[in-house]
Amino acid sequence: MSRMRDPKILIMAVAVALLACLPLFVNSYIVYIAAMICINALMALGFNFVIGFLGQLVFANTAFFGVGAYAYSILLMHVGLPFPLALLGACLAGGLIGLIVGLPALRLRGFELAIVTLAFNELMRWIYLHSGSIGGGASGMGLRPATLFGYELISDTSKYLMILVVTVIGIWMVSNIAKSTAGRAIVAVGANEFAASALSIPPARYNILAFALSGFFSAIAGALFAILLGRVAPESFGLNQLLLGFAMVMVGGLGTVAGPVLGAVLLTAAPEFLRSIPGAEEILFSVLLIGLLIFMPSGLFGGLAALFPSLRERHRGKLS
Amino acid sequence: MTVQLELDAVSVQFAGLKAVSDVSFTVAKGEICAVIGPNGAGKSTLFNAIGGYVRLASGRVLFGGEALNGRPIHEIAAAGVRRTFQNGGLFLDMTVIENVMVGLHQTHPIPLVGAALALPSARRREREAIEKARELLALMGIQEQEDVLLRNLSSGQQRMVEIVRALASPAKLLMLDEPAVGLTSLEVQRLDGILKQLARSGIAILLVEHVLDLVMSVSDKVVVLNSGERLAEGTPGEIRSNPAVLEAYLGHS
Ligand SMILES: Nc1ncnc2c1ncn2[C@@H]1O[C@H](COP(=O)(O)OP(=O)(O)OP(=O)(O)O)[C@@H](O)[C@H]1O
Ligand SMILES: [Mg+2]
Repeated sequence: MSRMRDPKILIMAVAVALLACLPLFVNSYIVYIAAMICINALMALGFNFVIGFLGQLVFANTAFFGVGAYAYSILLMHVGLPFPLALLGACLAGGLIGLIVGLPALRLRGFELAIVTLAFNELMRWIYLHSGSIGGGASGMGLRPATLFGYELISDTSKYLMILVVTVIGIWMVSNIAKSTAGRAIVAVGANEFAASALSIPPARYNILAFALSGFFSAIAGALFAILLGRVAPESFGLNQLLLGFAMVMVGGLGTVAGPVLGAVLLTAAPEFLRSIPGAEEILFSVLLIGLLIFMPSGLFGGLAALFPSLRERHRGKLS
Repeated sequence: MTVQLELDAVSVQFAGLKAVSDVSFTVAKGEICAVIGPNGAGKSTLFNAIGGYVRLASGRVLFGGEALNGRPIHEIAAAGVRRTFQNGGLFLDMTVIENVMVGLHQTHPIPLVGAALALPSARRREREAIEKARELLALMGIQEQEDVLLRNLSSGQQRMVEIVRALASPAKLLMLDEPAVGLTSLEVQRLDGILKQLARSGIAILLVEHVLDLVMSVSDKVVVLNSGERLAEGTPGEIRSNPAVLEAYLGHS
C-alpha cells in the first residue's frame, strides 16, 4: 500500500497547504497570531516530553525556550552564522541544556524536582539580565532579519511561512519519536522504572534523553519566537510563560502529540479574541483549566481519544 | 546438566528484618525450579535479589558462572535474566503489541535520529520489530488482541502478555512471580504446557507459585522458603511428604 493513499497523511497535507495559504485571506495581525500558535505548539510539545511522556514534574521548560531564543540571537548577531545554522545551533544548545538539567534530575522526584527546575528558570533569567553586552541585559537585543536564499524574512507573512514549515517538520519528528524505540522506552520508564529495567532498558539514559529532547524542541520554539519578534529580552521568559506552556499541555492532553498542539491552538487564539473584554482572558484561562482538570483529567485530546478509540496515538510504527 | 543460576548463601536485610537468610541452591539450564512458602517467606525478595532490585547483605548470585552482585537491573536483564512481577509490572495504558515492543528494546533497537526523520532504514527496522512482536504473540495465541489496551484484558491474558514480553529478548533464566493468579483452570493448563516447552528449549525457570497443582506438575525441583530460610529442597514427591514442609506451609493452606 502506497503511503500517499493513507487518508491521514492526505488530510494533513491538505491542512498544511491551507495553513500556508492563510496569509492570502487574513490581515497581518492574524498571521502573527498564527505564527505564535506554531511557536507555542512546539514549545508545548517540548514541555510534554518530560511532563507527559516521562511523567515528571519538571518546570525548566521556559529556561529551554529562553536558551533557544538567546542561543539563536547570539549565534546570529555575535558569531555571525547564517540563519539556518543559527537555528540548528539553538536547537543543539537547547538539547545540551536539557541534558545538563537532566543529570541532577535523576536523583530528584516529585516536588523537589519541580522546585529545583523552577529555580533553574529563574537562574537563567538572572543570567539574561546580567548578560552585559552579550545578551543585552535587561533591555535585551535587537536582531537582524533572518535571511533565506538571499531573501530577508521581514514581513509577518514570510516569517509565518518559515515558522509554519519548521513547526510542521518539528511536529512530524516528535510524532515519529513517540512511535520509536526511544519514545516507547521513555513512556515505559515513566510508567514503571523497574518494569522497564527488567526489559533491559536503562532508565537513567531515557530520563536524560527525555530532558534533552524537551530542551531541543523547546529551543526551536524559542529561536522562532526571537525571529518573530525580531528581538530577545528577559521579560519574555518569566513565570507567566511557564504557566502558559503548562496549561497548554494540561488542557490539550498530557503524553500525546495532538494534545499539546491542540492546547497551543486554543490558549493562543482564544485570548486574542477575548482581548476586547477586560478580564475575560483570565477567566477563560482559569475556567478551562479547572473545568478540564475536574471533568477531563486527560485533557481535551485525551477525552476525545477515550470517546473515539481510533484517535488514540500509537507507540509503534505502521507496517505498510 | 549445566548450572545456569547458583545462589551462594544469599541474604537480604531490610531494616531489622532478615527477609532472605543464607539461601543456597542452583538451577540448571532447562530446569524448572519452584520456590514455595507461606506469605512473607521472602520469595519475591529472592527474585529481587537475583535481578538486582535489592542489595545483598551477603552471599553471591552467580549467573552462568559470573557474579551478578552490584550490577544494575537493566544489565542483569540484558545478560538474560528476565522476569514477571507479582503485580504492577505491565504498562496498562499501552496496547498488547506496544508492551511486547518495549521488550524488544535489546534486540530491535532503532537509532533515534533515523527514527525521528523516518529514514528508510529505521522504518524497515520498525517493521521488523512489529513482525517479531506478532510472531511472539502468535506463539501464545494472543495475536488477535494486539491492538487492545492492556487494562482492557482479563488478568489471565495480561499475565500471558507479561510472559511474552519478558521473553521478547533472549532469556536464559525466566523468573515468574505467581503467574497463575487470576488464571482460569484452562489458562493454568496452557501455562503448564508453555513452561514445559520453554524448559525444553533450554531456559532455566524459577517459579514462585501458590497453585500447588501447577508446581507439582511442572517442577523438576522445589525449594521451600520459610521466614527467609531455606526449609527444604527436593523433587515434588519428596516435598509433598516432607513433614517439616507440611507443618510450615501446607498445613496452613
Ligand atoms: N522493600 C521492602 N522493604 C521492607 N520490607 C520488605 C520489602 N520487601 C519485602 N519486605 C518484607 O520482606 C518479607 C518478605 O517479603 P516477600 O515479598 O519477599 O514475601 P513473599 O514470599 O513474596 O510473600 P507473598 O507470598 O505474600 O508474595 C516480608 O516480611 C515483607 O514485608
Ligand atoms: Mg511475593
